[in-house]
Amino acid sequence: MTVRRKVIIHLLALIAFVWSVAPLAWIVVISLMYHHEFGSAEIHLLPGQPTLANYVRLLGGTARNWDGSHLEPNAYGPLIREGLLNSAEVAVLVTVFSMLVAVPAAYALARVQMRFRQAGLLTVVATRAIPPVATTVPFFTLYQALNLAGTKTGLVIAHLTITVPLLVWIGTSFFGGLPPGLERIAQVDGCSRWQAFWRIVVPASRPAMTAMAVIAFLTSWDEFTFALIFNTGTSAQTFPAALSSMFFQVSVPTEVASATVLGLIPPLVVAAIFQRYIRKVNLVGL
Amino acid sequence: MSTVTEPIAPARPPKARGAASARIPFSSRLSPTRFGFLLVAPVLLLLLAIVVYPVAYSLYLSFVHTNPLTGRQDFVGLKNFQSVFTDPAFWHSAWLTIYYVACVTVLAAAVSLGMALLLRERFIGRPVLMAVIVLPWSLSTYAAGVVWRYVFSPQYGLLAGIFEKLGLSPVDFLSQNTVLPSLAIVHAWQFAPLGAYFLLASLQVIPEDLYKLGKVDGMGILRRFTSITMPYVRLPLTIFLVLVGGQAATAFDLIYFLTSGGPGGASQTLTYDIYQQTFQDQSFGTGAATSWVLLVVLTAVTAGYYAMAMSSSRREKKVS
Repeated sequence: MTVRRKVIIHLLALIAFVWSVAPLAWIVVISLMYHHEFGSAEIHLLPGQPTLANYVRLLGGTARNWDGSHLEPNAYGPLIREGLLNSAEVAVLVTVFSMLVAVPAAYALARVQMRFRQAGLLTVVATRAIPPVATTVPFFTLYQALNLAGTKTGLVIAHLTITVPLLVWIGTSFFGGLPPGLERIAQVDGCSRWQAFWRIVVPASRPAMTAMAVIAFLTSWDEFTFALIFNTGTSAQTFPAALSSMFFQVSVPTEVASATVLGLIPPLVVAAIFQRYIRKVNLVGL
Repeated sequence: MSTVTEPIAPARPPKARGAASARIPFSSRLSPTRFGFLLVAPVLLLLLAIVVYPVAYSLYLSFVHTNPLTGRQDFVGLKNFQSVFTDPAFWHSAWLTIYYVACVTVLAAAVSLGMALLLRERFIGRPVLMAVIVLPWSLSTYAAGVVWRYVFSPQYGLLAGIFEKLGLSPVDFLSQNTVLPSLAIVHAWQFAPLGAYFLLASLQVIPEDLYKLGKVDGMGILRRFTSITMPYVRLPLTIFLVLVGGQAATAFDLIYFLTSGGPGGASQTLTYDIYQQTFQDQSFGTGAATSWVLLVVLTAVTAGYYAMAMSSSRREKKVS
C-alpha cells in the first residue's frame, strides 16, 4: 500500500466518523448549554459553561442559571417523564405479546412439516409491506367506536401490527438455521411435538429469541405515526408524542435537546447490552 | 409413537418410567399440519383482525363520502379517486415524492457503498468506526428529525456555526429549493449504515486475486470498480435500495419534525399529504383514496424491481 493511499483512507475514515457522530454530539452539546449562552449572537460549538441544569429541571428539580439566579423546574417535565414511563410500559407489553404469538408461529413455519407453509410465510411477509399511513385511518375510526383512542391498549394493538410480522419473519430464518433432526432426537427420548418445541428448541434458541424481544422493544419505542395520531394530548401519551408537543409549542432548543437525549438513552442502553444478539439478525429483514 | 392409534388404551413404554410419561401426549396425536396450524393460528387471527380489517376498511372508506361532523357515510363510487386525480395538489405531492425517493436512493447508494468500500480496507481505528457508524441507524427516526433540525438551523445550527467560524455566510438548508435534498441527506444519514453492513458482507467474498489480475491487465481504478466490484454488489445494493426507496416514499416522522411539509408545501410528499387530508382536513374519503394510490404504485414498483433484479442476477450467473 502506498503512503498516499494510506493517507487518503485515513482521511476518509475521519470523514465517516465525523459524519456519523457530529450531529449526535451537537445535540448533546446543546443540551449542556444555558439558554443564555445558546441564544448569544455568536454560535458556540462547545459549551463555555457546561451544565446539567436542563436535565435536572426536566426531572423536576430546580437549578441555578449561569448568573446564579434561580431556575424553576421545567413546565414540560411531567409530560416528558410520564411519556417515558408510558413508552416503557407500551414497549414491554408489545414485546411480551409479540413474543407469545410470533415465536410459536415462526417455529411452525420454519420447522413443522405442514401443508400451506409457503403460503403462510408469504402472507406474513406481505403484511409487512403495508405502510402505516394506510392503516391509521381505519384504526382511528375503529378506536373511536371502541373507546380505544387515547389508551395504551390501543397503541399496543397498533404496534403489534408492525412487530408480529417482523418477528415471525426474523424468527423463521433463525429456527430454520437450527440443526435438522433436533426434534426427532427429542421425540425418540419420549417428548411430544409440543414438548420438543418447548423443552429443546426454545432453550437452544435463547440468543435468537433475545434478539427478537429486543427488536420488538426497540420497534415499539421508536414508533411515531400511531403514537402521534392516537394518543397526543391524552394521559396515555408516549414519549414521541410528548416530545412533539414540547418541540412545537415551546421550542427552547436547549430544553428540547435534553428531552431528546433522555429519550435516546433507554433504546441505546438496551441496544448496547444486547448488541451481540442483534448483530445476528439479517439486517435487511428489518 | 404415532403407531398408537387408540388413545384410550395407552401403550406401555418399554421401560416403566412412571404414569406421566406413559400417557401419549396430546400434540403427538395431531398431524404435523394440524400442529403447525395450532401454532400459527394466533398470528393468522391477529393479522386478520389488525391488518386485513384495517386495509379492507380503508378500501371501503375510499369509496364513500364521510361527513366529518355526523359520521354519516354515503357511497360515492369512484368519486374520491376522481377528485384525487384531478387535484393539482396530488400531482404536486406525487412529483415531490418521486423527487425525494430519487434523492434518497442516490445518496444512500453513494454513502453506503462508500462506507462499505472504506470498511473493507485496513486502517487505524477501524473497529471504532465499525461500531460508530451504526449510531445514526440505532436512533429513532423522530429523534433524527429533531437532531437535524438543530444541525440545519440558520440561526443556531451546527452547520451555521461552522460556516461562521470559516467566515462564510449562513445557508438556509430548509429553503423552498433545497428542502427535499436536505431531508434526503438526513434519510441517507440514518439508513446508509444498514446498507454499509449489508454490502460489506458481499464485498468481503470478492477474491483479492481478481484485483491483482485486473491491475496486471492494466485496468484503472474505475475499470476495476465497474468490472470486478459492481457485479458482486449489484444484487445486494438493489435489494437495499428498494428497501430504502420504499421507506422514503412513506417517510413521515422526519418530514413532520424537520419541516412539517413546508416551506410553502415544498416538502409535502404524498404521505404527509395523506396525513393532512385525513387528520387536519378530516377528509377521510380522499385521504383513503390517496393512500390506496400510493400503496398500489409502491407495491407494483417494488415487485417489478425485485423481479428485474432477480432475473438479471440469474442471467449473470448463467453467463459466468
